[in-house]
Amino acid sequence: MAVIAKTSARTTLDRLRKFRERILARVRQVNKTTEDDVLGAGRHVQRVVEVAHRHIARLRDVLAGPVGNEDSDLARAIRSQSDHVRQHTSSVGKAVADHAGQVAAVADQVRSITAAAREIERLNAAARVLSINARIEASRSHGSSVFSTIATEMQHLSKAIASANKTVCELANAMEKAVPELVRQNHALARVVEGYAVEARDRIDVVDRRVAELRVAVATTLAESDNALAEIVAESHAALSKLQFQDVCAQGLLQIDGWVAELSKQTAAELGVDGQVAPVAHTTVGNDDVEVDRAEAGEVMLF
Amino acid sequence: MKKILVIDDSPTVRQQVGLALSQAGYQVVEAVDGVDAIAKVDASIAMLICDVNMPRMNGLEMLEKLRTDARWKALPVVMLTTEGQPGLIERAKKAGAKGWIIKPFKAELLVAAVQRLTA
Repeated sequence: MAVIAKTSARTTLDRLRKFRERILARVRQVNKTTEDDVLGAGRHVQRVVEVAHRHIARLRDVLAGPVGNEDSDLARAIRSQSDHVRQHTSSVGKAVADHAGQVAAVADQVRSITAAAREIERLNAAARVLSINARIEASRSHGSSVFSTIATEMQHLSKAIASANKTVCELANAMEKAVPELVRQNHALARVVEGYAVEARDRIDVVDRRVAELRVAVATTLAESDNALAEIVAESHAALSKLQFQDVCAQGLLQIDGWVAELSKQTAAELGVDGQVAPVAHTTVGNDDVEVDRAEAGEVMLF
Repeated sequence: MKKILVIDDSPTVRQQVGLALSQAGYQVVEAVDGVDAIAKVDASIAMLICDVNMPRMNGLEMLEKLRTDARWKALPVVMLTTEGQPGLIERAKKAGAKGWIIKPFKAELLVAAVQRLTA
């Protein structure tokens, strides 16, 4: 009877051993499957965060590079162009003002020439009087050759002066007529230049405003991108937290083997046979029942 | 970039801790148990995050062995485990652990703890 009982006990223990093997095989299979899937999900989460990081870094490069700050290439180019237009406009305006001054000087000089021509005309009239007087003296002195010669020369000189002065007067008249036209053209040019300068300043102001608006928009967009990235990271942390069920479940499932091993030992002891019980698949330092208190989970105790 | 040694026999936990820390700017080195951790710890490691229940050498044994080496007396170690028994926590504390986190962990709290202990 005792032999039969021992044989039966060993059969029971053998069944328990096989039962443990089947449990372990299935638990390891399940754990492997969940582990593979959770690792895969983790990699996807990591990829999402990496893509977001890369995209936002690229966005920062593209936006902050050209217009995001005062020292960017585009900002410097716009500033340089604006300065160039301002400088050029100022130079042209100064040139037009100088030109106006020169025209006024010319007008003064023309007036001086006209006055000089009148003075020459007055002197020439005096010369003609002298010529007539010489002619009178020649007839009084019965054809004195001296007075006659003087009268003739004075007459020739007076004609020559009159002719030259006529040319000077004509030139002065022509210049007097030309000067107002020059003044009118100068005023027209000044108006064009001033109009262009005003328009250029307005356009530069518009560009400056647009650049400032763009810079604010870029800064806002980058700040929003940073916030989005922070949200993506936070969500990825939340996703990672949810994926931790795998390790907890895997350990929990492996505890079943420990319980059956304990049952095997108890059975062997109760049946009075020496049972070689294989070591448990998952040794624990603390209690054998790993039960996670969800209220405690995630709690951080710093010493 | 500070280097953190993450010791856990579960690849999913190593990955999840690794992702949380790497996103926070830390470099992560992994070990699969206490024996592996002892072999990998060096002067470049700023902190250890260690599971308790592991094959070959569990986390508490690893911590106690680590503290026998004068070089690692002050190296911060935080236990990350499903265990929450006061006796185990006290043992870790006596061995010089700086913290105890019960799984499943919250990534932001883990990162905050690492930031505080490596500051």
